[in-house]
Parts: sequence; C-alpha cells; structure tokens
Amino acid sequence: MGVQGSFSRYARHLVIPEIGAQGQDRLRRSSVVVIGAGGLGSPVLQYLAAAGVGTIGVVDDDVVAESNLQRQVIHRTDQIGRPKVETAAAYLRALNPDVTVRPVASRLTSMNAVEVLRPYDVIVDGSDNFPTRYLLSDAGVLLRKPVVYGSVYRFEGQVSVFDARRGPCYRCLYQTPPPPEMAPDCGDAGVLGVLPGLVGTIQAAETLKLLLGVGEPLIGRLLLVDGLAMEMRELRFKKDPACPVCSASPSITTLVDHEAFCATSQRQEDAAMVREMTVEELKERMDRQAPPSILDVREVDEHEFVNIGGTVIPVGELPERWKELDPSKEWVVYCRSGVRSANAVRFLQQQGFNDVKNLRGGILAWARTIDPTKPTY
Amino acid sequence: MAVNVTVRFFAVAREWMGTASVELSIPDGSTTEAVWDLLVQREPKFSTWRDRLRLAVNNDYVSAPVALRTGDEVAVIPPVSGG
Ligand SMILES: [Zn+2]
Repeated sequence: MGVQGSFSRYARHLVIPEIGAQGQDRLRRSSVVVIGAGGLGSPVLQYLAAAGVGTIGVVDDDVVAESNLQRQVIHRTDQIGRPKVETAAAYLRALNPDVTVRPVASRLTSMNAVEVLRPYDVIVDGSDNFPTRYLLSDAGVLLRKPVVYGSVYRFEGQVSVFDARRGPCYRCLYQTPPPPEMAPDCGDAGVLGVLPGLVGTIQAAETLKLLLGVGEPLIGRLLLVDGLAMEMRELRFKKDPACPVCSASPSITTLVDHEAFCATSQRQEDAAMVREMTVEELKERMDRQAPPSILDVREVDEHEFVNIGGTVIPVGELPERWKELDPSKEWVVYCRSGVRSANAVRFLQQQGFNDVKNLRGGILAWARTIDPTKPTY
Repeated sequence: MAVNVTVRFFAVAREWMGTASVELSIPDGSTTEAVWDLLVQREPKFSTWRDRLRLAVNNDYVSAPVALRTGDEVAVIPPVSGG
C-alpha cells in the first residue's frame, strides 16, 4: 500500500516539511530489526509500526511471563505463555496493516546474527543482557549498519547510536562485558516499569531520524536518563583508537561466540566437573574401530555443513529428546567450540548418563588438528 | 589549596555508595586517579571493578587520568544491560 492510500493515517507526518510524502515513502521502503520484544522493544515496535516503517523484524526467543507485564506493554495478560514474537506481531499487524512484520523466535547468536540482521537498514538493541549487546554492536560494525542502543537499570536508562562509519561503537565505551555479579540483568535488578518506556521511545525517535536522514543522531553521545531526578544528561565519547572492533586495526573481525562471554568463575567451576575427551583420543578410538557413541548438539544445518558423524539433537531440544539416547552407553558430545556440548554433558549427567564426555574444542579442534579438510565457521 | 569536586554515581555504583553524589576534596594538582583512590577507600568494589567502569569529567568520557579543578564534576558510569 502506497502513501496515497494511507493519506489519512500518516497525515500528521505528511504536513511536516522534514517528512512529507517523500519521507513517508522512505519509511515505507525501510526496514528495521528490533532485538528483544520486552520493555524496550515494546515502545520501539509500537512507534515504528505506527509510523509506517515498511518492514519490521522482531527477534526474541522468550515467552510472555506475568512478571513482564509491568513494563512490556505490547503483551497482555491473556497471552501469558505465548512466544513474545507472536504476540508482538499480532499487536503490530492490528495496529498497522501496512507493515510487514517478520517474527524470529530464536536467540541471536554469533552463528545466526549476520543472517538475521543483514536484510535490515537499522538494528535496534532492546535486549536485556550483555552478550547480546556486544554481539549487536560488533555485528553493526561488521555489517556497516547503525545500532540504536538502549538499556535500563532501576530508575536509570542509557541511549545512544553506534555507527562505526561515523563514530564510536559500544566497545569504544566498554571494551569487554562485565562479570554478572557487577551488572545483574534486568530480571535480577528491577526496573521502574515506565523507564524502558522513556528509553524505548527515544530509541524509536532516533531510529526514525536515521531512516529519514533528518536531525542529529545520538552518535558519539550517550544520553543518560535519571528517572529519580528526572534529569537527562549527554555524555560525549569518542572512537577508541584501540577499539578491538571498530578501530583501524581491529583484533575482532568476526562475531564472537556469545556463550564465551558468560565464562564467569562459576561457569569455570562447572566446566571442571565436565569430563573431556580430546580430538586425538577420539581419533585413536575411531582408528581402532572402538569409538564411543557420538552426539552432535548443534543445529541440524550446522551438522549438515560439517560433522564427524553421530546422532544430532540440538542442545535446545535435549530436554525433550534425551530419552532417544541410551544412558548405559559411553557418549562423547560435540558442538562447534565445546561450550554448548559442555552444557549438554552436564544435563545428561543429571539424567543419569554415567559415561558422558565433552569433546574438547569441538569440531573446530577436530578441523584444526585431525582433519584440516573439514570446513570451519 | 585543595581541589573540590563533585562525584556523581550511576546505576550499580549508586547502589554501592548508597547515594547519588559526594563532594570530595583532593590535593591541588590531582587527577582523576585521586578520585579513584578515595572511592576505593570508601568502597572496595571500586577497586575490583575499576577497569569495567568509566569516568566522565564534565560530561566527557575520559580514558587517561585527567587533571581536575575545583568545580569539576566526575561521573562514574557502569555498563547497564537491562531491557
Ligand atoms: Zn569501537
């Protein structure tokens, strides 16, 4: 549907010289992907859809919980338990049928981020955890797309726009993620329900400005919203000449497996309890025709891309499907780098698998030391 | 002569200090390093997490130690992740 047919819907845009019919048409031809259909994502999605942004992607792997409703105003009480991307998509389609909504009900990872984000003009960070925030900022640099960042804590919020072509990125501000005990996620920390509303509407405004090419985006500026004092201050920050991602000589040139970020002392202790098998040991066992049973806990398309055989059950499906496996057998579990499979080993041990080991370093280690003809990713 | 500065705390740093701001008196010629030293004395967590926090002086993020003058405002800004 063109602007002509929707004259009345966008009338208040059309009369603004900075937008007009041309700007409205530009919005219709634009696409935005919003990561997180939660407290920040709710107002971002609502205002972008209302404004007539033509294509909106929504990425979230969560379902609606009662405790979300205090701030995640796109979901309703009668939708508890349903996937957030579904309920958000239903809301947006009812709000504005001109908009094409693309729900993605998975968690963004270094594996799928490029594929998920690439089709869109602008990335909006409405996530609730550091690994995703770093992933989005890095992806924005690598894909040369602006990232409209927002985050909240209790009565406070932060908003900025990262565009490495014109200014700094998130790693220029904070080079590495903090440990969880310093910065608990929203679920642990608490937040005044309206705070993500304040921050999210600013993110929506920045997104529309970027799409329209009007005004001054929050590039190199971090807006700090203090809801208690009801003060906003603008902090200026510059590109870090030593930024690992957006500097002239970056040390990070591909997306980092976000699970690795979570390697806290607790996780390292857990890892110590997971028994391991090296790729050399596995090769030796295969060579003498006495291999253990092998389980690949990556996604099916990862397995099809490169594998060393075995049964495929993605780690996310393991809680439903582990009964397909014989707990009396000896198992070795692998994934790409050994992180997902370590989680799987821990889970299987809890289900009574007595002889289950993690393939150290995953298929990457196999490709590196045993079979260099295997492609890596 | 001492230099008097205001230090403002945000997010989790505010929780640690139990207040939004303090006035600090530091020796003449001091830099932001002197502010760090006083903060660490009051709250050891500032020492543990120092390399994860950022300072802004008069609303400009600073990376290296910066000389301070009376009336300057130093903001302590932790990363925030909630959404
Ligand atoms: Zn950077």
